[in-house]
Amino acid sequence: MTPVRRSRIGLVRSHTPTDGQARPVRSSLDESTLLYPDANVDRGGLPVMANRVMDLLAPGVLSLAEISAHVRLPVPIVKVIAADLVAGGHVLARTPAPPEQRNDCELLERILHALHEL
Amino acid sequence: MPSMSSEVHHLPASVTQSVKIIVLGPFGVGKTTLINSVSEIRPLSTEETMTQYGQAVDDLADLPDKTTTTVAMDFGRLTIGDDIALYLFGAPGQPRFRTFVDDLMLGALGGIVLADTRRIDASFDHIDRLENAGVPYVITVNSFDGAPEYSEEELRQAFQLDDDTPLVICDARRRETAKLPLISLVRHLLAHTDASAPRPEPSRT
Repeated sequence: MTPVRRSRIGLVRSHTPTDGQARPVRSSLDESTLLYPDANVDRGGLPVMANRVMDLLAPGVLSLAEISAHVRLPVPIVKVIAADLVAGGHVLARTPAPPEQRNDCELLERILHALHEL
Repeated sequence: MPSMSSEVHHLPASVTQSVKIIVLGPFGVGKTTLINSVSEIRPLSTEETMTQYGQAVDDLADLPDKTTTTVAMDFGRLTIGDDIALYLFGAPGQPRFRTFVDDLMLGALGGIVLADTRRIDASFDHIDRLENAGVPYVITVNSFDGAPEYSEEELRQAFQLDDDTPLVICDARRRETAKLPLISLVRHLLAHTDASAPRPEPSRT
């Protein structure tokens, strides 16, 4: 019997598509924030480093920390670049929301299962 | 300019959320070793500017050969299913990274404090900081070859742990045991979800 747990699925969780964009951009960015590129937005006029980040993101999704490691810029600086890219619509950012994640039984169970399988 | 083409492992667009777990402990306690044992990618390192230098983006953009940075943290990744990316961040142990680590704790699902039985007290500060930040954690003894072995009871006493805080013993070099603190942490979180906590009935009799 799982009706109680199933009812939790209806709650708004940390990965709703608007999360990360609804809040003031800079403070919502984190090392583990995922950045999703939008290739349809014109990159004309972007600063050099912002363009480099967009090049790096072109094949897919990366976290802010991964971008920091690959472009070899400190995390706080990548946060600023990413915040500008979010503001310009070039990327969508999703930041984890631990208080919700800690109560998301389905998420935790899935992580636990994956770790056992590792 | 460092090459960045071959080693970039992108996540699929189907990934909808990330999870952040931080690994703390004194310098040389095995944080990166543990992350390496569990990560699906070769651990990456981020850099941090030395504080006395300017951090303006434009300045650094013009300085490709900048010499003002130092390695700040190593981290790894584990993709779960096709929609969850779990990140393991190794918090630098040196005191000069204190503010950086306090920032790192924000947004963490939980923490793993690594300890070495030859210098247990070196991990106390890390426990206190997670405690103060309200981040759930597990204590993990990394069993080094030749280090003294203690019973769980003795270790619990040494760390002054309450009964609720998990204590794990692992060998950070081996994936089979390096994953144990993670499993313990997630179990600990599951045991404390709102759903499992007894809720007072809104009785109005």
